[in-house]
Parts: sequence; structure tokens; C-alpha cells
Amino acid sequence: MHFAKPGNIVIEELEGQHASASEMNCDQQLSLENGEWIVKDIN
Amino acid sequence: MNITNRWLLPEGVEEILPPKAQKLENLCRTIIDLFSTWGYEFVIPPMVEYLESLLTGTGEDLDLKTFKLTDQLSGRLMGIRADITPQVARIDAHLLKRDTPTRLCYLGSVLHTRPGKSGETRAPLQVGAELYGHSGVASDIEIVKLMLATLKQVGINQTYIDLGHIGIFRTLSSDSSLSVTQQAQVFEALQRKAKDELKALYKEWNITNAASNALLELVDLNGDVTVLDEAKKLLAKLSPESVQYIDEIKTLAESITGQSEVFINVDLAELRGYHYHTGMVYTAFVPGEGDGIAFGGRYDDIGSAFGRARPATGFSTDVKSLLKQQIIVNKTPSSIFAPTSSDIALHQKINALRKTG
Repeated sequence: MHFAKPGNIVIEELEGQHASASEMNCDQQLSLENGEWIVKDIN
Repeated sequence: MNITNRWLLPEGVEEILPPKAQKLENLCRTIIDLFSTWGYEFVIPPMVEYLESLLTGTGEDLDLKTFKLTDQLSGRLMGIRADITPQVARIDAHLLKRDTPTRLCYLGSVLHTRPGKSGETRAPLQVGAELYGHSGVASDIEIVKLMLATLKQVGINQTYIDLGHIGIFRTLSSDSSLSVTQQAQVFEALQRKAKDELKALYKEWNITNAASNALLELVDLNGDVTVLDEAKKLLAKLSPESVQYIDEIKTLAESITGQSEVFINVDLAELRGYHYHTGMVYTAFVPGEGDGIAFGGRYDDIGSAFGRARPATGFSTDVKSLLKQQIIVNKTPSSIFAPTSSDIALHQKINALRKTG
């Protein structure tokens, strides 16, 4: 059992998983914009 | 065994699934973090021990609750812990051997042979805090305050607390002319507050002495703190020792009076943990629940069984039952979806996000 404060939860897409971000219970996603990975809300 | 009953869990043993399991884990962290801010050091006693270590000084109740198994290495009888408190008392008495007050806390599963009542878990997740090496009422006050702070921390705002003192029953019993067997019967009837049954027993045994009659009166001594003045009047001449115990309850009650949403009830026939506790006992209740949610008390004798008598007081609760009461709804943390990519920059970003909350 760990008592350290956890960081952000990041769920990596598995190749061929065929499940969308919202199906994976994610409300944000990483997007590549102008060469930089940024966190964006999923509408 | 068919495919369906292969999946059956034993009665009173449950598995916890998402998202409840995460909420339970968060609750555990919250409580242990709170304990550590009060100076309580975390210990992890083992799940199984030799039976005599587990049961020493704890009385018959715990023996009946404990699952037994044979150790294939030593051939000795082992037990799966039904209560962590005696294990922590052993750690304080036998392993730490400090002379200063020692504050310890713990968290772990325990297993009971039978549920307390129908439908109750046999595998509580016990969390508790124990204070060793201080015999004064100040340590009881600290433990009760920590118990109340724990309930508040997990979102329980309204608490009813029952206060009692095992010493009063013990003193009056030893002053009475009751035999050990009779004392056990009186104890059992007092637990049920069966005054008429007690009167009938006294008549049958031809018991008329003052200490025995005072035991009978304990049944009616429950209510708000004014009960303590009544009890003092009753016991002033008969049992100075009991008067001292009543004063201890009064000091404790005064220390928590005025805390918002905490309601104090005194019950001098409250004898929970009689075979184990030696002084003040306290039980916390929440509105709408007949059973207590957190339990504590003084148990000065237990360390002597491990070769070093130390004053001890503490409380424990079942995190699973706290979760049922939790009013604060912890928002499930948001998750970030990362697309499949071999871009190193993406993996650096993922690692950075996982490190910071």
C-alpha cells in the first residue's frame, strides 16, 4: 500500500485496442499542436 | 462444483471492485496521513502468528473469533489475526521497548470466524491508533479527540459518543460477595440491562450487600453527563475508587464538550471488551446506525503478558464501514488519454504528467 500523493492518471492507447478516449473513461487527451504535446479537454 | 458456485465467496467475505476499491484506498491514505500528523508511527504486524502470541491476555472472545491453522514448518498452531491491537501492544512491549510515551498506528485486514451479526463482514479492514506508556486521562483524551478527528476527516460530521468505565464494574464486583461464576452472570445481565433478571438472581442467591446493589443501579446510570453526579452520590461512601473513575469520565467528557456536532452519552453499564479493557471505554455512533462505528478504550494489562506492562489506550474502526458512511464524495480524478506514438517527446510528457498531480 502506497501513501504517496499520486500524479496525473495517463492511460496509453494500446495498438489496435479500438477504444476511444471516452470509452477508456478519460476526460482529457494529449494532442500534438505546433510540435508540442498538450493536454486538452475532450468535448 | 459447477462453474457458478466456483465463483462463490464465503459468507461475510467480499471483494471490492472499481471504483469503490479506489475510494477505500483513498480513505485509508487519508486516515493514515491524519494519524501521522498527530505523531503516530505506522507499524505493519503480520497476518498470521502463533496462536498464543495472538491471544495472550485478550480473553475468550478473541479466541472464538480467531481462525486457527497448523504451521507446516513448526507443527505449531497459528491463528489469523482477528484484531490488530494485541499485535501492536506486543510490538510496543516486546520489540520497541521505549520508556517514553509511544504512539503507533496500523491498517490491515482481520478475519473473524463469525460475523458480529447477520450480513456483517467477516473480513474488516481495521485501522487504529494506540498510545502506550501514559496512564493519565490525558492520553484517553488524546485518543478520543483523534477518533473524532478521524470521523470528521472522512466526512462524518455528527457523532454520538458513549463513555463508560470498566473499572467501576470491576471494583464493585470485587467488593461484592459474588462468586466468580455469579459475577459472570451479573456481567452478562448488565450487558443486556436486564435489571429485573438481576434482582431475581440476587434473591435466589440471597445477596443483599451494598456493592452488589450498586451494581444493580448501574443499569439506570445512563444518559447525559448529569448521570455522573448521580453516580458519585451513589458511590461516594461505598467505593472511593469508583468515584475516581467517575471523575476520569467527567474530565474526558469536559474535554470534548463544545465540539460541534458531538453528543456525549454516559453509560456506566457499558462493558464492551470487559475481558480486555481495564479503564475508560468509548464507542462512537453515527445517526441512523444502531451499532458503533469506532471503538476504543484503555487496556493497561495486555503488555504484561508480553513481559512488560505498559499503560495503553487506543481506538480502532473498520474502514469498510466508514466508507458506507462517507458523505464527502471524492471526485474520481480525471484521466488523460495518450495516443499510440513512438514520439519521444510524447513519452517524456507522459512521464512528467504521471510525476505531478
